Amino acid sequence: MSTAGAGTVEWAARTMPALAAVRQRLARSRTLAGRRVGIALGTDPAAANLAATLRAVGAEVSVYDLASPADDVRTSLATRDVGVYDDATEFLRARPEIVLDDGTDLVVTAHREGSRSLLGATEASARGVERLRALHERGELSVPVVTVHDSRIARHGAELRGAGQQTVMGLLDITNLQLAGRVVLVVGYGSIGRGVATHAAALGARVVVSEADAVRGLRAHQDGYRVQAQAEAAPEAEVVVAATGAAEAVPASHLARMRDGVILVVADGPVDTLPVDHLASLPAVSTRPRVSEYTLPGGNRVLVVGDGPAGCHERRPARGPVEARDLIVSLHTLAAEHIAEHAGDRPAGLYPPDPELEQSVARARLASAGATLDQ
Amino acid sequence: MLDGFVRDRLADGALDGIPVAVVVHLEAKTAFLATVLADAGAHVVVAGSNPRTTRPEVVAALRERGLTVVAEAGGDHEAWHRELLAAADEAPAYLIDDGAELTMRAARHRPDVFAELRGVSEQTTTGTARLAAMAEARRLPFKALTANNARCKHRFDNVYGTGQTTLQALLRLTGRQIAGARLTVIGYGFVGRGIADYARAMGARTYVVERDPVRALEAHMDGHTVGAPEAVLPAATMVVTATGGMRAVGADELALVGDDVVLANAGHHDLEIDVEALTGMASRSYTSVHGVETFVVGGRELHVLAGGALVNIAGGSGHPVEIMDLSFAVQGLGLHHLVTTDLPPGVHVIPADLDDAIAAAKLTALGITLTGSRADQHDDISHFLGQEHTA
Repeated sequence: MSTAGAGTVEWAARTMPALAAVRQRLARSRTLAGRRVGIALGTDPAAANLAATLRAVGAEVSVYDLASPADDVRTSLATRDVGVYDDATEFLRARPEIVLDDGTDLVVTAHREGSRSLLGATEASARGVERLRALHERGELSVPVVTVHDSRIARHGAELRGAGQQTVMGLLDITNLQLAGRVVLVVGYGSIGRGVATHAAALGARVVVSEADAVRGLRAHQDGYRVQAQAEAAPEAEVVVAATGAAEAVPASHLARMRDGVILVVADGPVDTLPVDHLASLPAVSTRPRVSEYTLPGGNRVLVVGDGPAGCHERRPARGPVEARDLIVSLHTLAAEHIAEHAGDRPAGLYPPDPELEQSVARARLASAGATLDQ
Repeated sequence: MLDGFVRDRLADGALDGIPVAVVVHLEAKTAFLATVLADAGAHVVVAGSNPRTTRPEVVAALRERGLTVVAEAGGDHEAWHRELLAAADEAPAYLIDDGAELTMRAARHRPDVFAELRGVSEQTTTGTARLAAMAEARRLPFKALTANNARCKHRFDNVYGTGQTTLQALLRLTGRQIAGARLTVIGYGFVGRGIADYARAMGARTYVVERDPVRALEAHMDGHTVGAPEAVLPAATMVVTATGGMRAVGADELALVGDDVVLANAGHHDLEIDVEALTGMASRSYTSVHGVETFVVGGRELHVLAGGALVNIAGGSGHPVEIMDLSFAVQGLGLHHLVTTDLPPGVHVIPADLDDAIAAAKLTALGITLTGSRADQHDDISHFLGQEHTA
C-alpha cells in the first residue's frame, strides 16, 4: 500500500469482498485468461477494481464510458494497461469477446457493425434487456446474453439497497433538504422505486407511490405507502422521484399541476425520463450547484436535480455505494466466466444468471460480514 | 419560513444599537442569523465556532453586508482563539455563543469585557453544560439562556438535523452502504438518537454505548443493542460519537475497534474522537480519499472522517435550512428575550409560550392548522375537589 493518497480505487477495494472471492476463483480456474473482455459498467472506483481483477486473472480488458473517468480511476486503468473509450465503434475495434453491459446498447451496436469476435454478453439494465429481447425476437441476436438484471441480487442488493440509498442521500446532499415530514412522490415501484421509498420513509418522508402496474401498486400499498395516480398526487408532492426508467415518466402536463418549488429527480433512467424538451423551452437558472430552476408559464418554479442536458442526468456518476457495486460487478464477472466456459455450446438467446453464481456472490458478502448460513 | 415571523418580533427596536457578538459555524445558513440580528439594529460582530467549518465566501458575504467578521477560513486552533479574543475586544453586551467558547475565553482572558456582559444565549448541549458548571461555581455573574434546551431546538435540530446530515456526510465521504453496516453510536442524547434511529431505518444494525441508565434503557426499548464499549465496539464497521464530551473514543476505545472501522464525530468537540491519542498510537497515517484519514495501528487501519471535527458541517453540507429556521427563531427570539427581560444570573430556558409560538408559526408556514380543545375534553376535577371540601 502506498503511503500517500491511496486513492478512491484502493478505498473501494476495502469493501469489495465478493470481487475478492471472484478473483481467487478465477485465478485458480484461469477461465478468463487470454480472453478479451469489454466493460461498459461505468468508470467508478468499483468498475476500476473490476478491470484490475480481470487483468490480474489474465484477461485483456477495455472500458467503454461516455463520461470521462476521474483522475484516480484513469491512473488505475492506465497502469493496468486498460484502454478507455468514449466511442462505441472505437471500443468494438478492440474486438471484445465478452461484453459486460449496463444499458449502453453495445451488443446491439456490435450486431449492427457485424462484429465477429463476440462470444456472449451480460446486461444489467431493464431497458437494455428489453432491446436485446426485441433483437432476439427478430432472429438477429447471434450470441448468448446473461441478463444480470434478472438476478435477485441485482434487484435487491444493487437496486433497492444501492440505488435507493444513492438517490435519496444524493438528493439530500445536493439540495440540503430536510426530509422529515416532506411529501415524496415516487413514480414507479420497481426495485429502484421501492429502494427510494424505503430510504425516504426511513428519514421521515411521507411517501406516495404512483404505479401503472396493479401488482406493484399492491406491493406498495402493503408496504404501507399511499398509492395514487401521478396526476392526483402531483399537487401535493414536494419531491418527485422518477424511478420507472421509462421515457417521460413525469409528463409535461403534470408539471403545471405541481406546487411552486417542487423538486424533480431521476433515480434511474435516461435523460428523457423527465420532459426535457418541454423543460428546455422554459426560462431556467442554476440556483445551486447541480440544481436547475425552471419557471413555468404560470410562474411556478420546478427545480431539477442533476448534471445532464436540461438539468437531467443519465446516471449518477458514483453509481451507488461500493458494497452494492461489489455485488453487481461480481455477478457480471461470474456470468462472463460462465460464458467463456460454455462458449459455442449455448445457442443465442437471453439467459438469467445461473443460481449458483448468485449464491456464490451472496456467500462471499455474507462471509465478510461474519454471517453464517444454515446447512 | 420563519424569517418573517422572527423579523416581525425583532422589529420593536429592542435590539437597536445593542452590541452583540455572534459565534456560529460560518456556513451559509447558520451565518444568516447574524444578518437578521444586524437588520434588527444590533451592532453585530461575528466569529466562527470551529476553524474547520468557516467558509470564505460566507465571511466575504457578511462583510459585504457591513457586518464585522473576525474569522478567516483555513485557520488553525490558535488563529481561532485569537479571533474569539478579537470578538471579545469589540466589547459586546450580549453573546450568542456556541460551546460557550467565547464566554469562557472572555472570563479568562478579557475580565473587563466579561464584567460588562449582560447576557449569553447558548446553542449547544456542550455549551449549556459549561455554563451550568460556571453558574454552579458562582462564576456566571449574568443571565444566560440555553437555546439548546428549548424544545424547538433540541427536539428538532439535534434529532432530525444532525441525525440526517451526519449520515449523509458519513455515506458521502466513505461511499459505503448503510444497509448491513454495524453502526455504534456513542451517546444516546437527542443527537445520538437521531443518528441511531435513521441508520436502523435504512438497514443498519445499530448499537449504543451510553452511561446514563435511563437513556441506555430507552435505547434498548427503541430496539438498539446496548452494551459496554468492550461488547459493541470490536464488531462495529462505523462508530459515531455523539456525547458532546471529550474522548468518547479515547485510547481505551481505540484499542477495541476492529480493522477498517470508520470513526466519525457528531459532537461539538474535535477531540470527541481522540485524534491526538490515535496519532500517538499509529505507526503512520495517510489520506485514503478526501475527508478520510487512515491511521495504521499494528495490523489495523482506522479511518477518521473530517479530522474528527463535526462531520456533518466540516465534512458535509451542514444543517438543512428548514431545521436552522427553527434554531434561528429560538436564538433570535431568545436574544430579544434576554435583552428585554430581567432575569437573575444563571442558566435559563426561553419561556414555554415563546417555544410554543415558534412551533405554531412553523406549523402555519407548513399549512398545518391545529384545533384547540373543547371544554368537555378537559379532565375536570373541580367537582371532586369541591366534594372533598364539603366532606
